[in-house]
Amino acid sequence: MAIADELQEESSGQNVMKGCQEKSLEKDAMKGHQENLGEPDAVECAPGGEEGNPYVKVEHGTVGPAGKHRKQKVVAGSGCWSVAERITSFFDSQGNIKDYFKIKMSILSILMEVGMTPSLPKIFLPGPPEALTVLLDGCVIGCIASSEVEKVVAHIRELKVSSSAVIPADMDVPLSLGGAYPGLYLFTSPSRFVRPVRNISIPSNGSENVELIGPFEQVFMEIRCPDGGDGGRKSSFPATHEEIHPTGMFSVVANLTPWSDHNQSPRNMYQCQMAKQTMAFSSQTIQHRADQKLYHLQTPQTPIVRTSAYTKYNIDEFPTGTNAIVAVLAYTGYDMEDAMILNKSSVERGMFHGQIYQTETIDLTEQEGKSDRSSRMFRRSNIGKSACPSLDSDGLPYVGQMIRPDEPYCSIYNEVTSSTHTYKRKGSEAVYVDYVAVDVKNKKQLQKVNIRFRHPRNPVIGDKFSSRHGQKGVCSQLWPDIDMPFSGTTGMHPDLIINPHAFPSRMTIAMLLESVAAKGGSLRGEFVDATPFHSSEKKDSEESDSKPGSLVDDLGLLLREKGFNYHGLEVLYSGVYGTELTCQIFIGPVYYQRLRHMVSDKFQVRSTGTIDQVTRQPLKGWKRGGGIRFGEMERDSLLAHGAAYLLHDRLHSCSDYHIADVCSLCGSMLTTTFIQRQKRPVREIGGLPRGRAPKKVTCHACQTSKGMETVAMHYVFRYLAAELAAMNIKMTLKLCDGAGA
Amino acid sequence: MLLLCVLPSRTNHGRRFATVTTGYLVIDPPSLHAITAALQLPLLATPQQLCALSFPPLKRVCALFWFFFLHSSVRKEQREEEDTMEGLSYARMPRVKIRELKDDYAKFELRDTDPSIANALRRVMIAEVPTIAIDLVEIEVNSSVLNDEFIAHRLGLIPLTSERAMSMRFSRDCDACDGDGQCEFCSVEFHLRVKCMTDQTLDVTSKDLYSSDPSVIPVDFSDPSATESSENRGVIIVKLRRGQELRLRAIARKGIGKDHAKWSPAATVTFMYEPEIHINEDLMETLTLEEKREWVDSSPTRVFEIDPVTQQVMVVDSEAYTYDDEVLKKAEAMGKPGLVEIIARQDSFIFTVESTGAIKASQLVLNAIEILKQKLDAVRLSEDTVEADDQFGELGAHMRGG
Ligand SMILES: [Zn+2]
Ligand SMILES: [Zn+2]
Repeated sequence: MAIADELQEESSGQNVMKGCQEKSLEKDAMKGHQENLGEPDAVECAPGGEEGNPYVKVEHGTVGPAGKHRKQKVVAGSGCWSVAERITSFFDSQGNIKDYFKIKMSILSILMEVGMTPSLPKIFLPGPPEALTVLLDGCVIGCIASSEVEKVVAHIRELKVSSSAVIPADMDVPLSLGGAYPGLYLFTSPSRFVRPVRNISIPSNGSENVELIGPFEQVFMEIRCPDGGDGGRKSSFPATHEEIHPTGMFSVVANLTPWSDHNQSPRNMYQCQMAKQTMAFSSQTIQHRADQKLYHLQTPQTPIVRTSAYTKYNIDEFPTGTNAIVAVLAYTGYDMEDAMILNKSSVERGMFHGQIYQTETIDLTEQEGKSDRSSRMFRRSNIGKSACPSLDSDGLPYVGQMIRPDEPYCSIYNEVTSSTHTYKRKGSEAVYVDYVAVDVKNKKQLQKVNIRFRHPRNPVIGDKFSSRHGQKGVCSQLWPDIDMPFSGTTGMHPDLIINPHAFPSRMTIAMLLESVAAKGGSLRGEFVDATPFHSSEKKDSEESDSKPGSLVDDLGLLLREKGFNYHGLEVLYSGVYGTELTCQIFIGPVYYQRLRHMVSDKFQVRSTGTIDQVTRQPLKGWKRGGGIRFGEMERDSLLAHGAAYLLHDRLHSCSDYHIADVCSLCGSMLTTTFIQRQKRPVREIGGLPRGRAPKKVTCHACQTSKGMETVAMHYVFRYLAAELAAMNIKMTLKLCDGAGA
Repeated sequence: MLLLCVLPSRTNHGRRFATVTTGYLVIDPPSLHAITAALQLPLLATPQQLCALSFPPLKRVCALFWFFFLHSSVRKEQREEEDTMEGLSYARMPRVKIRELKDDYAKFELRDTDPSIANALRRVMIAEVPTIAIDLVEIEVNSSVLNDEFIAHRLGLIPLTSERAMSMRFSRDCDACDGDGQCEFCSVEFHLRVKCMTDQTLDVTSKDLYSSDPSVIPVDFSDPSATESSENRGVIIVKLRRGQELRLRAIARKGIGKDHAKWSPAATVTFMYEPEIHINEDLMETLTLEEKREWVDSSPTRVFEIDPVTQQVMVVDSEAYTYDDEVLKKAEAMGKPGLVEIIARQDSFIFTVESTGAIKASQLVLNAIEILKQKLDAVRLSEDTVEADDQFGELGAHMRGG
């Protein structure tokens, strides 16, 4: 968030709005709203991990560069991910800058008290295993006898928790006894990740004894889950610390999955990956931003079923989805194999609407040739007024203007050459100009503009959606409202239909729970808390005699109270026939996310198009308008079907079809040459185009055109012949009539 | 006098395809009960054909197939029937009883007809009764926080009073403006110009839309009895802060819910089969009071109750039953199967209609019947005449058995 603010401040100073009616420079028009630049709320910290992964690492077996050899999806337990709730600060609790020298001196004196041998008078210190080196912020300050060190650490921790100010509360105290570098490493510097845990080795005198620990020391500590158990520890290594809540092991993303303790674990990890691909409500200040690409959900909702972390991290400011009424049934067959049916009317009413914001930066100073830098400016050519109506006289587009593919959106005039260069939209879809920001740092002349485009991305068939339980699916149909099943009593239609087969093998029980809970919650007008491991929390005092029922019971009874089926089932009627469906249907609201993989950005279509210059075969690649490889296995399947004509069409007609002239006398296809005919003065007949004289081809080797034949072949074959010829290998073709071939 | 016409059909007793006849029902508003049959028109359209008629273009091919398939079966059955039961009239006289009628809400019973007819009525109410909604927006100035498409979409979803819609032209069929969709016969123009000049956030609502036609205005949801309060100022379109401005011109056109949900006049239309509940009194008497209570409580909705005096189980509200089978399962679990028998009546329906406010709920039902009738007329015409081919194209040929 801090980064966002910086960007925003920068833009608020320099960007000037360009309206279509008035183009006055209103600098103060976009004062970005200031957010408190205090400590970030939450930062993920990762001991031994890469990127921003979920709480555990997911490995895809042996993943090749293209992920070709993906075997079993294996979960590696390495790297425990948790949330660093805070970052150590420069300031103390009073807001004054910390005196680090004083802190160091106080730590030093305490260490001396407990028996540390300081390094200063003597240069040579006893080393391991008898004594362990003590480092403070990376400097060796002394050593402590190995037998004493654990007691020392416990003492320091006690002082740390007691807020006696002699030891900073956010100090890292990692103690490594084994390994390559045994020692006691102390850290007091600012900007370290720390998170709170409860210290249980100190007698609690009513206080919580919350200690801030860092990622380094966490690995060497015994922290138990606060479920009252010992976590399988041996009595020789008792737990010294305890998590404040069992969800302490989760990252921010993992913490947002409701009831993740009821899901099969890989599903939770899939959700962690997908939560980062959601097309969410990405920013509150989109109008001031200039991101390269930014996905934005137009109509987000807050989930009915949410975890305590959701509230804690204020995800409501950046919601990721919509509460959709989900019916679980096989209705039309269009929900097979993880496809899902969306209600057309729901979509038309705004469900999952969204857009992509994309910014193009045009900086005249960055372009080559310093000499003519000042000669270039944003201007529309005088001739081009009618040619590009989308541009204003300053060479920039109107805000709100729709720009179709291959239409110009910016025009640059070069005074020296007096030529104009226009930037044209690529791609296959029309976009809207959302915003034009001009950089007025250079007082003399406009040198830099940011043009932000808006791509509408309302749901279409082929777009990807997912619940919060790793249940992703692709929209297969936008089904009419009237054909959807409906409830006779309430008249509800589902917004979304998914197939029951999505559940047995994946075991995402939490999704079913969410549906039931959200139904109960919406009937009562309340949010439902779905924090995982609720039952594992240590009960305050021993008043847990009133044995709490199972979660399902609690949720089911809520539904029952409101006159609904205990299990979340409802009798539905076919929308097409009006007759009762043969079984009751599981229906309820589930929070669905729209994922940013959309067909409009991916579909690939080609009949003819760009070709490779050497082989004359189609290029590959979406950007170049290329084709998709029709490989050997695809060829085999067409052969198996006997679809010979189709095969010929794909592999020949639509590829490098070529008619070559071959000399049947010598069998060469490389020695043929066109004979340049003498220009016979042909009188033009009454404006008619001159009839093309038939080409005359001869064989260079045989010096005759007698044996010339035309043969249809792949162009690469000619290329092959040429390549072979370069290696002094002659390729000879034997021609005969088709009948005998 | 309120004129209602309902499409009855012959009871089909398990037979899939039946002949449909039309009739008119006249309802006297003061009593809302007196219903008289006025007219009958023999028709050849199966209930399934009715369903198919309200199919969207998407499934046109499918519908074509259905027509072809069904038509042949209808013909065959009809011939068989004509042989056996000659001279019998199967016309049924559906009855409508209105239970509750408010501007935006209607609850009525529909009796003596088939589920297919009830469903056709429901489908037409949702997807084919025309209303007027904003369809084209020309934005002059928009410096608000919402983008142009977002505002246009929000404008489209504002319900407009659409009493005129039935008599209006679809702009695609309008010959006055050559399909331009901008003339008075097929469109209504709206203007909106708002600029926030104060430090207070300004709500732009549907009340800021100025209509060129006083009969087509945004629906007013405010309670007329309530005093003039600043609250309830209509549907909020966007909020403006100081200096922001919204200026636009919008064209509203006639359309149906099948094309876009914004034209659907129905918030909810649903029907349920009327349950017929028979308690086996003898078996019930074998239960103790405790067991009775347990059984009664097994239903999530209050259908049964125990008479405090006689301690007998009685049905208090049969329509509260949601066909959830809970009481049947409970009876089974108690070892008393057959304790209660519940039949869903196949010829009796309870409709609930909620309108968006574009048209009155009562008018919605009447318009739906009118449209259903037009559809049937079209089917009937095309039965023998080739001229209906203009209207139905290939469909007509199929219906004539081609
Ligand atoms: Zn030759
Ligand atoms: Zn017109």
